Amino acid sequence: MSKHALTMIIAIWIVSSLLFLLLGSGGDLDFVWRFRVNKWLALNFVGVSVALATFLFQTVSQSRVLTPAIMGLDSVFLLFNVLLIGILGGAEYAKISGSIKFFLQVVLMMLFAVAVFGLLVRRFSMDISRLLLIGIALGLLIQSLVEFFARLITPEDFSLFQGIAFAQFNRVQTELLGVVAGVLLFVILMLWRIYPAIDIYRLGRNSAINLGIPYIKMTTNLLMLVAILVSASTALVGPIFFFGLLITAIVFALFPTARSGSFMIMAAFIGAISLVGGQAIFEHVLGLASTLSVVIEFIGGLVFFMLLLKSRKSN
Amino acid sequence: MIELLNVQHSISGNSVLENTSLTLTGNQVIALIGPNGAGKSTLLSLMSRLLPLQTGKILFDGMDISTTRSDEVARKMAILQQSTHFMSRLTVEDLLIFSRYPYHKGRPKTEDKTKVEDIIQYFGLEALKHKFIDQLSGGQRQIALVAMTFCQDTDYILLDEPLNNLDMYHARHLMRILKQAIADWGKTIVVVMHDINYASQYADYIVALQQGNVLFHGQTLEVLTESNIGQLYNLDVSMLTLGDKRFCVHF
Repeated sequence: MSKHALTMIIAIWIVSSLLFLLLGSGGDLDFVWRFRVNKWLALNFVGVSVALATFLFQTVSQSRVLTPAIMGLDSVFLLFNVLLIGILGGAEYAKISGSIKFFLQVVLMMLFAVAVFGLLVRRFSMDISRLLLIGIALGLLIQSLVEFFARLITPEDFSLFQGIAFAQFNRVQTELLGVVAGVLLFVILMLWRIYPAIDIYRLGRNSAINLGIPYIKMTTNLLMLVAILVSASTALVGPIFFFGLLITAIVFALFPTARSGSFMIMAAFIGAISLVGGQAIFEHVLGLASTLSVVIEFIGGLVFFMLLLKSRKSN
Repeated sequence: MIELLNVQHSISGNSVLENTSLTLTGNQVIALIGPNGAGKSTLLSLMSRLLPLQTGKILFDGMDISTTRSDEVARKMAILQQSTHFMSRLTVEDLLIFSRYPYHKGRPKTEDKTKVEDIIQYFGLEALKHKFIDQLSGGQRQIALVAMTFCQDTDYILLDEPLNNLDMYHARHLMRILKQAIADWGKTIVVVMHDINYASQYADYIVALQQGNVLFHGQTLEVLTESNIGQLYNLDVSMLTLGDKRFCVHF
């Protein structure tokens, strides 16, 4: 990756940030500070965490068409929330502080990721497709449980739950920003330490073990990082499916030979740009006539099918 | 010296490698031969810790591969598997730098770069070093992958059927490099092979496996006899001697 490309990307990021922050504000910086900075931060955090989570998950699964959504982590998030709403009732649920819910979610998702995938990796370390199939099956099981419980709760509670169940870039949970910032910082520091090992890990299981990578331990660690990142983005805006795929596909198309370190930097910036720039257009130019999450997931879904068709052709 | 002590392996109840103990001396090409499904690749995977050991011990110069840190083992022994695919798009040079990972841990030093240059020359890869692995022909690719194991700079190198899909030119080129490397660097190379004639030309020592058992092992000229090969593959063969070379006719 050239310095030039990085400068370009950072410039685009700054421009889209300025657009998002200032467009239609009439230069009223007090207004910008009070109403827009938080949201701008949240969009950046989501873009970065989705980008990194997808890259890491694709690294572990040795595939370029998968997203962490396939692990069923977001179903765990939904199950947690629908149970909480069902047991406590909507009013009590709304009273629980966001950060407590967030921490419980992170812990649950990590437990799920490690319990299911960590143990499976230990038993079937050679067979990533079996792992993914089990992940999909469990995800579907939990998804059905979520639908079952969603039928049991009252209509009012159900509409509250609906608000959580779909990605919302317009109403982000800004009270979680501090916690998520801390979590992201931790993940980025971890990645900074291990990114050369990720390059080796991406050579495949046999080559990685041959070069002295503790493969099972590293797989578990990477899956934990994915779980943390998915929790962070899910807590801020809700479940996201294809957006990550869109980012990694773009980075791969632009920089096919990028090493892991550069790839992650690029992916993080492109993730942030898509959300900040996209939201600037949808909120300030189109006046919320459509929703960014729908458009991004739609384009991401198209990219998913294109990748599938392409990989079928090349096989 | 490679020592295998009571190594045994079974997959879901079926034994693929019976209790095996072997001592192999260093500084030579050791060929693992035997019919399909004899357990050659399993044995190689166990020796390279790609498969965890179920019983027994494997030692390289006294280093126990199941108790020694993996990165330390990676400086002692390198393996090349049969089908190697990479997720990332890599040039030959990138790959060689990656194979130095056990030494530089991701921050290559000058000595790593010197080693990479040496290996590129040794294998005659100068023209290919900036090419991507997926642009190479099967033969060039195989040579590049073997170069990768040499760049790892280990005393022991394990190769699983490196001659697979190679034409005569590349197969000879590769085997000559292996022979040369033993003379130049005192390496010990264990190769899984199917072609008895290649084994006869290039191997110093032969280990023959049949249905998970070591049927015979010993110096090439001593063990490559008509009765041994006939029994190993369940075939009638004749061995021809031409000068100091021995050929197996099995047609």
